[in-house]
Amino acid sequence: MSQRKLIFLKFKRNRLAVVGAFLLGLFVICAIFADYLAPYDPLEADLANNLAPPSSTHLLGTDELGRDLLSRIVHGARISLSLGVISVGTALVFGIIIGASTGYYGGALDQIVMRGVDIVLSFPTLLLAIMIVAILGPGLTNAMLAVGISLIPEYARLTRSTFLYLRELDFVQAAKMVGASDARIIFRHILPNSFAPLIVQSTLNIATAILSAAALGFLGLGAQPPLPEWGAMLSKGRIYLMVAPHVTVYPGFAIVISVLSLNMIGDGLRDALDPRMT
Amino acid sequence: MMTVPTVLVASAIVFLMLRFIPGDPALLMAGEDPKPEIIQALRKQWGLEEPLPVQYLVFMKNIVEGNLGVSIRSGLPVSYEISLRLPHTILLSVIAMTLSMALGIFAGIVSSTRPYSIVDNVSMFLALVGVSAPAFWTGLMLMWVFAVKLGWLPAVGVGTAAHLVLPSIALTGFTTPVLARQTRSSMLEVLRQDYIRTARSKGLSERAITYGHAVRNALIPVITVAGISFGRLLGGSIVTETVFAYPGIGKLLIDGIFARDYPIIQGTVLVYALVFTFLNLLVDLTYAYVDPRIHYE
Repeated sequence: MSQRKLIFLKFKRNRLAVVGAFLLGLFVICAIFADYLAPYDPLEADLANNLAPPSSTHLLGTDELGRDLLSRIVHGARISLSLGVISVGTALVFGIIIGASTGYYGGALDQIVMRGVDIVLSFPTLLLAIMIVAILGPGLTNAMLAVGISLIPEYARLTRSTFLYLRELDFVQAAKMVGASDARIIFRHILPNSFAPLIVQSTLNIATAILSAAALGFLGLGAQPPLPEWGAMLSKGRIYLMVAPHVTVYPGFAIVISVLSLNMIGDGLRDALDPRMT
Repeated sequence: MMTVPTVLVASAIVFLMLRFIPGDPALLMAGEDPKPEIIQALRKQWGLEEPLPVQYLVFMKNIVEGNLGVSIRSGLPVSYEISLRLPHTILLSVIAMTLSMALGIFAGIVSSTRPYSIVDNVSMFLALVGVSAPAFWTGLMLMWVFAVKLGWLPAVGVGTAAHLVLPSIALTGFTTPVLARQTRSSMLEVLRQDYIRTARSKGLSERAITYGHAVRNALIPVITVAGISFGRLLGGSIVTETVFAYPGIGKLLIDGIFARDYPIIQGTVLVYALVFTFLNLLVDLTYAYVDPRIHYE
């Protein structure tokens, strides 16, 4: 049985992970097909009907401007998911570059760069993101950038330790002895074998990214109105907590479930890829 | 050992932060429609006419003297504003951290002694949910249930012990699960060891084994995680303070960002940086103290 098939079967056995994958699939479908799935236009205001509780016409009620909450949540999936994927993708690329170079070459470069990385790593990701947005100004792209940058140190560290480990293994030594160039060794031999921890980390990081982006949105530093970003929706609904709690409760649920599904998948992947467990 | 360079780098980052923002730093620090004398005074105070490295030295000198500038919004010295609020943040964070350590570690221990049981599965699932919920949402939900609907606890502000309850519970939402999971896996590792089997064969009760031997050894990685979690907790306190209108430095920072009050932003970020560095130092020291195998020169 091929290794990939083995991993897939191990993953399937973990019930939580499978549920997570199913839930995530739902969100992805919402994100891609939002325009077709949402019953109303998420930006269409209906002030006469605002703060309406869930009913047969508006399944989750309306927000403070009378916009249909369900539609806004469905469209919000697109924003949150793309935010998560893009920021993690950027962090991945830069983190791998840093981690691979320091892990493979070592030496003084390694020491200096890793000291720097450690220092940045000692800041909590949210604070870093807030700082970056404070400089760049609020907005969706800036939030994406901020979250992405705050995730780079983790990837750098992870890639570096994987590289340090793999570098010493026999097959790499053999390649070196045969005269393979550094680039070939890195790309053809080491990198493909370092994917496992990176994939697990990335899944969990997308979850963190969504949370951070929602926090930024909540603080008013991320996606700006009228964009239906979940965190921003929560923030707007906050004042009406006493009279219309649904405006705060449902977007929050969306965040929890999407992040939860990613965490479940991430845990499942980690267990499936762990060579120690059968 | 790493503290000094970390502080230097952190302060350098904060220093650069202000200079990266497009615009004249003196104007940024003076606020709206300032008089020319004020701008000139600011230029002198922060050495803005000098080359960048000299500016940095002036910046450091000002900080050491306790001069962090003057808030644009209130006109009061930044250090004063911070000193009013820092104790609140520290109080909240320490309470939340203690709570989450007590709860998390205990839950982790209980889970590890009954692996894969209902108790274990339920608590680990709850842990997963806890980690997935954004702190501001749990805070708002708590506020809604306990303050709005039941009226048992105050929703915003500070003043009595009751005011601390909801914010600290909201803050523990994230760190408790992390600590519980780490304690559990750490305990599972330890419980597999030979010396535990020896203790069992000697006839020691399960309870004595668990608490007397296993926990002590399992706690070492938990301490590191606790240190990192405290950092995250402080980060989370920024949002929680905003939700509960709790007057700590987190709220000060956010208000400052919206008011474009750059001296405040600079000051609070610096304070946060210093707190984290100090925290990391503390964790390192505790680690060295607890684990007899590690030595620092």
